[in-house]
Amino acid sequence: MPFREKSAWISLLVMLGVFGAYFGAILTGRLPPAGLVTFRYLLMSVAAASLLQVALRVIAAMLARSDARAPKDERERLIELKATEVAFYVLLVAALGGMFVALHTPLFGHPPRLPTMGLVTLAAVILADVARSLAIIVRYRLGA
Amino acid sequence: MARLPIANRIRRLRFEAGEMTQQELARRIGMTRQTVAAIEQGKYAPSLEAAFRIARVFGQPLEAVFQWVDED
Repeated sequence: MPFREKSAWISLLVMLGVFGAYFGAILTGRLPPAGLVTFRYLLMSVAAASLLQVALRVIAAMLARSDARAPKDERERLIELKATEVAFYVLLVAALGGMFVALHTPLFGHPPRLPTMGLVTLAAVILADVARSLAIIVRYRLGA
Repeated sequence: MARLPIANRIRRLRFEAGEMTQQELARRIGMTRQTVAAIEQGKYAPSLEAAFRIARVFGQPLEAVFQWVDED
């Protein structure tokens, strides 16, 4: 498996694991949707996701040094560009969809509070990142 | 994923160049082995620059390496 595909797997699994746990705790009521405790958990989640990604990428790079050191070629750059395009549309739909649901349904309380809107935006960013990683993995799997 | 209308003779040319490996060809054109494999299998159409680089490695004109395949 090429290093950059491994890198996408690492990003996908870390984001799903760390932020899945964070949003899961909010959705199941173990964390309140707003407040200092939730914000502290958010900071811890961001730190955990960053540290995990760096640590796992360093390990992956050590296992395939020449692959990791090689500059991206044109196909790899194209894969990343197309994946970023997919992520852009996911971000757009998720952010606007989330805002619409928050503003026009009682799902997040009516009217929704600012921290709740922040959470909706964060969820859209995480979804876009997950979509980007998935798009990279699919393209590498297809060999295209 | 749709197959590209471009065929190539890279596998044959590697064989004729003393079983040159995909890794060696990749190194000589500044690409990854996976990209060479994708080009060889017709899953990825290289840029014009990369196509010329490949042709130069084998000392062949471009059309001796890549051919347009009519889709009908």
